[in-house]
Amino acid sequence: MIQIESITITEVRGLRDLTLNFGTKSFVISGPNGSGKSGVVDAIEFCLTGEITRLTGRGTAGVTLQRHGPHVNHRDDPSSAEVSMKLMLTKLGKEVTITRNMKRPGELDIEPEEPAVRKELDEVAKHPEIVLSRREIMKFISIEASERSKEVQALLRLDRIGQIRSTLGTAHNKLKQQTEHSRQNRQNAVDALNRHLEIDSASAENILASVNMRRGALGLVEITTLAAHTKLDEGVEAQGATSTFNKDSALRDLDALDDAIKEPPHTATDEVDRVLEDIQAIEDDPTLLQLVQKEAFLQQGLELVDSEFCPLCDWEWADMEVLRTHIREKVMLSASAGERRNRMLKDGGEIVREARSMSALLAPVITLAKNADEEEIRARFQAWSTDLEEFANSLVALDGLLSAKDRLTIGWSQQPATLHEELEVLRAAVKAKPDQSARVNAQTFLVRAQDRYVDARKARQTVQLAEKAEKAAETASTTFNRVSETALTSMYDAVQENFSEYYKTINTGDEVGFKARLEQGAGKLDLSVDFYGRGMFPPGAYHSEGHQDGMGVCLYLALMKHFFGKDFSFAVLDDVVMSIDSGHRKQFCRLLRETFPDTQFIITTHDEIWARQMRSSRLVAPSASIEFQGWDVDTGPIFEPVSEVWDRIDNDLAKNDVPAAAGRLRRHLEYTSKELADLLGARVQFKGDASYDLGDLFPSVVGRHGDLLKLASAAANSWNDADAKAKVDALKKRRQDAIASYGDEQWVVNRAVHFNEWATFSKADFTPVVKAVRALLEQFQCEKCGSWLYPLPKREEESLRCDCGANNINLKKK
Amino acid sequence: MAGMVDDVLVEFFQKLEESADLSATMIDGLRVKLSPESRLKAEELVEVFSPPPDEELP
Repeated sequence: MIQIESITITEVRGLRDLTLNFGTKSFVISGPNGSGKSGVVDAIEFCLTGEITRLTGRGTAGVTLQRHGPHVNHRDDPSSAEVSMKLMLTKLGKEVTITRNMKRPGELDIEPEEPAVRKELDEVAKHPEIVLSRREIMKFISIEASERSKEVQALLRLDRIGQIRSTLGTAHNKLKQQTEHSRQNRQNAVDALNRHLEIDSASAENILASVNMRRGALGLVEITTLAAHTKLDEGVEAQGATSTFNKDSALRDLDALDDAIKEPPHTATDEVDRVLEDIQAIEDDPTLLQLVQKEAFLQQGLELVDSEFCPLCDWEWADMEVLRTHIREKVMLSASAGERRNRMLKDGGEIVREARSMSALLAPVITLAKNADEEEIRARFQAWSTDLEEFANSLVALDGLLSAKDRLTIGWSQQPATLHEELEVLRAAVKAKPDQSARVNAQTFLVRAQDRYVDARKARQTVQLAEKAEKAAETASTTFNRVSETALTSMYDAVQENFSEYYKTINTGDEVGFKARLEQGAGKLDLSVDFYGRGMFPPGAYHSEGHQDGMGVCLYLALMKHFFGKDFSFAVLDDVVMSIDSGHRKQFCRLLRETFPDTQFIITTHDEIWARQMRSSRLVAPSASIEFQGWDVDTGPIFEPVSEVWDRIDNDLAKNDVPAAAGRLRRHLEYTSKELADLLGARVQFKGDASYDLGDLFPSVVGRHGDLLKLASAAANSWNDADAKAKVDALKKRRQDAIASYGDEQWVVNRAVHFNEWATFSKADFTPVVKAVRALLEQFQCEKCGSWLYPLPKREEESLRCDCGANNINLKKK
Repeated sequence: MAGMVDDVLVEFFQKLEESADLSATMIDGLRVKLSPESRLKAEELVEVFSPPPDEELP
């Protein structure tokens, strides 16, 4: 993977000419909406992948990369839009510069151009998910399990597994149907053989008895065993027989068809009646079909009922038992709907069998019509046979059965109106042929027997092959499902563990017992989360939208961590951190900083306070920020690099701009007072509207800091720890000096900072104020790492610490 | 992680080779049809699973 050293953007989206130096470290871009932050995100995505997701997908009809990717002034000149990035390829340990021009988005210029580098960058280009926007978060949380499965599998490049699983399943189903079809064909072929041989069942004994009777009449050798190469008409040809037409057999074929269309009447079979009843039931209650699909869902809902609130939709019921009864009724209804569907398919299968059987009976009759030169009859019978086959094929699925209602009602066989007359025509044609002598009758009987014997054997072989194919497909399908599910379950176990840990880190002190469960089902991925120990629920059941957003980011991070492992070196979080509420932002920064120390995050936010928090919590270095203050269509973002606030105040004073310096100092004090009050646990007088101002917070913060040092002093004394005592004494001395200095300037601070009366101050008046405030604030910081000092645990006050560990001052007495 | 699909397929084919239900020809055919370059089509898998008719009738 990669890390970005720097990026130069020329005429892309809302940016004219911008260079940012990220230094392969995390970086925050802040600024109000419409100030150009997302333009930087687009440029990064474009340079890496050749695409801008924002310009594709829903709601972007008529928007194209080449036309709308360049700055609006260059919309007809895509070649002027270009992004260049200096990258560190972390895997290869190589620095490269890549450039992509909007005129040729598919081409990436690489310097130096090397095969290994190209391969690595091609791989990066396949990962647009390294850019996460807020609208993407919900892909993982508040969607149907089947959609979540697709999204997560697509993110993890596992969609191929789902596709293979589905294709193997489809192949297995097709082969299952083929086997059933081939079995019906075998039965029809055996029926035709039995009918010709005038036997009840096609046992070797029966076949040989019937055949040998004719062979004996012809003086031919008796056949004693049936084998693959047995020829039932062996020797007939040598007797000079030329005809293959057997009059008696032909009449039996006609009778068989005649009987089939007379008995039983097809509109009155039990199966048709039942199918029609079921179709009617579904038409009367369309929810029946839906219920079949919802059965498992309802079963789960029933298990989750633990109050009068429905666990599926949050609707409040009179009491828990009424709700349970309601869901139970739905479950029973859906179970009965499932049974109904299976019964329909079973009954439908019987109708299919009959239709194919009738089509098989038609086959020899069609040949008779042809031989009798009855072309119209032949064509009509052929069309009927085709219609029966198509009808049978349509009934193997539920949809086909539902749409066959009319045909099943009026008589599915749909025999031609002139069938009986035409059968009589054919019967007359057969009878009109001269009676065959006993010898010719026996000869043609054996020839016809051989044909039908071969047909039956072929049909049996086809069944064997179909069964073999079906078994192979079934084994492949079940094996793949088992292997892939084991692998996916193992992977999701690891992801859910990381996801839970990340979420708990963000919500430290709130949802300490939080856990999540990712369950892989057939084509779906269920996500359930703990809600304050009351059970496992879908994320949207009880958690607020803000918490769900937090879950989305955590699941994304867990998936990325699992997918890339050590190579998760880069991600863009486009305004997603806004969804983390202010109470959990510090923990979020800690999560990114401590859990992903080697990952470069490029973060955008429109909340300047949030950007400051990222800096003060050392997620990003103070210099690794830029603040877009506005945007102009001709110039692009209006910005200045974020420097230390003290540098900026010094700059203001250097320009003799005291009002600007005082305003900046006041805002800085307001922000740090809130942050320190929270970190130190300052005791502030409660205000119902939470409108705490500097006067409410700052004195309490200073007082709290002093109290903590007193605790430290008492603790050092009680343990008789000379080193600790010396360290605390030094801190107290430094603090006293700072407060004394601050006190000297208090009158100025009150007026300038609290009451905005800076207009009357000169630079000389204000410079000592800045120095005093800065010195006082430094008392709350670690001299080594610069982080604020804070007691841990927050409420127990065991020690006073900083982020780097240089400060770990005991607060507990012996 | 990009190799997870490959890992699943390797184990899948190992299991198939232990099975008596699939011939070596079928397994080879599946390897081709399930390879990353191949577009997955159920009809083509049906062909892979369907053995050619024996020359001799059983």
